[in-house]
Amino acid sequence: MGVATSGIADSPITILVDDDATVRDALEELLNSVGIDTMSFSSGQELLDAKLPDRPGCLVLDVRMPGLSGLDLQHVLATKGILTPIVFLTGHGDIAMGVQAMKAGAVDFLTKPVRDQTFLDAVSTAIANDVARRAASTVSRKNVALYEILTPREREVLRLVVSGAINKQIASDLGISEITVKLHRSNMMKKMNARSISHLFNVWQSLPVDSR
Amino acid sequence: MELTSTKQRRVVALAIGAACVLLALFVYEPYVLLVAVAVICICIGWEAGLAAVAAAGLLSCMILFSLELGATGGAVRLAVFVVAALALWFVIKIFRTMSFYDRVYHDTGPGVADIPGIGWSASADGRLRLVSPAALEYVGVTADEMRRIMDGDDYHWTQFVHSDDVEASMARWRHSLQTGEPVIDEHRMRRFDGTYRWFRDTGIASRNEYGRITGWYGHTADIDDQKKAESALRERERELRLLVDTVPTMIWLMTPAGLPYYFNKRFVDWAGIDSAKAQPRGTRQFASHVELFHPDDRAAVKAVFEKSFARGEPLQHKGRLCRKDGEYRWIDSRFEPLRDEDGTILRWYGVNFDIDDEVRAQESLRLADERLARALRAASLSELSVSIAHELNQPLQAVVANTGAFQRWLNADPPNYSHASRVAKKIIRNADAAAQVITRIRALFSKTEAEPHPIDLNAVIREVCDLLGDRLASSSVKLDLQLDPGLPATAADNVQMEQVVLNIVRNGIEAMQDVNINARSLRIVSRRQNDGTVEVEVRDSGRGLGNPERIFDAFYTTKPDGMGMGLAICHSIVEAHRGRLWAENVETGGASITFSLPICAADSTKTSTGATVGV
Repeated sequence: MGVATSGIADSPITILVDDDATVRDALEELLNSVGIDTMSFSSGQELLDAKLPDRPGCLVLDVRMPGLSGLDLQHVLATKGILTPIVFLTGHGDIAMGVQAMKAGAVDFLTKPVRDQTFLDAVSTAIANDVARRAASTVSRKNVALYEILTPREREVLRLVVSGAINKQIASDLGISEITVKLHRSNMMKKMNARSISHLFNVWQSLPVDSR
Repeated sequence: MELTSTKQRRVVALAIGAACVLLALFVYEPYVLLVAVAVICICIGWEAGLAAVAAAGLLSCMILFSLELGATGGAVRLAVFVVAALALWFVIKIFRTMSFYDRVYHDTGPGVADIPGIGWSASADGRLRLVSPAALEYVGVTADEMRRIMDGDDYHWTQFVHSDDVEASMARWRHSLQTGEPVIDEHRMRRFDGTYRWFRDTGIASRNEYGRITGWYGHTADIDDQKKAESALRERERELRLLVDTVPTMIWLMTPAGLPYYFNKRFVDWAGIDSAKAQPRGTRQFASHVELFHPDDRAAVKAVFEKSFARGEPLQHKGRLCRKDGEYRWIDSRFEPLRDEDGTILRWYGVNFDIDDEVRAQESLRLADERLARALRAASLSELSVSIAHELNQPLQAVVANTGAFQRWLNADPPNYSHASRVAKKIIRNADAAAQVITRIRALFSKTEAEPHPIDLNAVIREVCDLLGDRLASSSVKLDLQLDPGLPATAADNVQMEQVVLNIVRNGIEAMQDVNINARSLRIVSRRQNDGTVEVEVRDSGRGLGNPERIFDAFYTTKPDGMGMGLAICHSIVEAHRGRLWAENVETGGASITFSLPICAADSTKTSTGATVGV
């Protein structure tokens, strides 16, 4: 395992897995030259055994490797809930493999030898995706916390508000007076830090479906 | 009245004689005494007859001279009587000789009971007169029963003869009866216990003094054991003949000079030899045996034959021989001489095998092999290009990535020269690696460039292990090198041998992917064999081979993403070096792939002192 890092905790890191040492070394060299930290492993198992840093970044996997192939590794990571974006490199272009990888959520599928800029672009995109994903997941976590302090009645009102119902409909649906609906609604808007209905809708959208 | 026995006849004759003597005494007529003389001569014998003549003379003298009839003419009558009596005696004597002879023979010769085997006699008309006690004993009937059977019908004896033989026996017997020729017959006769045994019946006619047949005397001998031995011999002969004719090969015999005189049936059928004219035609034909061979083979065949016959050496040759339908077929011929104790050749034994089908099969196999090889080369061109691309992609990828880095370090502000220089070195190494790949591929496909020269396989093994060091480490494979420091050099192409070792070692590493990480070990052994070869064995601790025979087939692979070319290429390389490559499973688990190569001719005497240093 090789690690090249600038030591900044939130700076992105690219993790390379390739059984060919020269390729691994050259790709690290390239990424380092544009200031991206790297970490490399010679097999998928090594990666799974290692403790990965909690930093935004991406994975660059070789498809053909002894032991776990790149696609196998992608599957194992997915089942472990590790959602770091993946860029695949393959020795000979195999459309079927590429399709499979892209369906499973890969950012890109590149054929060796890949031009340096193409590779760097793919890695950049993947890192940007990861940064956005991590940011989104931070907002989401915050909103879930807000949602969880709502009373059951307020949650019902929230669901009906975002589905587009007006106060009168909510009152008749829940079998309560319109005054009471207004009260619940203003409490709910305050607790959710929502300035407007459209803001509330965005907050609602960021909530994971299973927690709604 | 019929007097059947001698005794009866004798009694009657003596009675008549006595009556005549009495008559002579009563009527005083001496001539009646002649009858008594005749009776004595016939019944008692000629000496007694002579005495009877004397007695009759005295008696007639007494009659003639005691009578008072007077002596007139008495002396004359006596003399006439004596002369008549002597004449009568003499006549009877000469005519009784045969009969006396018969009686003497009858008394002194062996009796029917004394004949070994079964004796019998038949009357002139063919009716059985008597059989010896041995016959009765054999068929198991008493004399009385036999008498009844014999009285029953003309051919009563046939009931003791095997039903299958009766007809032929009867025919022969009738023939002899008609012609008087001796009868010789073989048939089976039933014993008292119901089993049948073979007998030989020999009978001759007995003739009287006129040559007329008076009866038949015969002897029946038990020849069953002989018959069985004969039939067993015949059976063996038949089997031997059958064997000679049915063994799926052509057998022929030749005189010491090489002239064929016997062909077995298969040969006759195959070559269409005319069996009716086989001898002259065969001799003529095979004296110039070579004429039957294909024109292209004749000279060689002739030389081989002549050499073999001249020196008396066994011969083996192959050639195309003309079959009866005119087709020339490949024949494997072998001759061996049979010699007597002095070493002189008695005859030659030859066998011919029709090996045409095999020869053709081999030929077509060779052609098919060539076609396959060509087809394989063509078909796998695209596959190979993929494989070559893969081999080249790694170093190229490294070159591209490093060049990108190199450019960026230089373009940085300020430029980072130390980093750039480091990357530049890497680029050179990568480019060298790519060039190496190209060299190997060229060596693989153009044999002219792959010139065998003495190489040290140990060095090749070490080089490959260095190349694969990273791979071995990343796969956690423990490497165990057991290289013979005295390993002689082999004549081979270095790059190709590297390719072979690389493929086999890589194969071994990949075979251990799904084995416990602590149990992955790869042992590489090099050793010298006594048959003038060196062996390199690569043994892994994987799961072994499901099908050791097939792993060298092209496109046979156990790996999900393998092409199945690696070991097939190894195989062709090793074979091109006149070596062998084989795979087997190891009892302790895992597989072993071994190749052997001949020791370099100039190096076969090399001793361990001049060897390279071990690991």
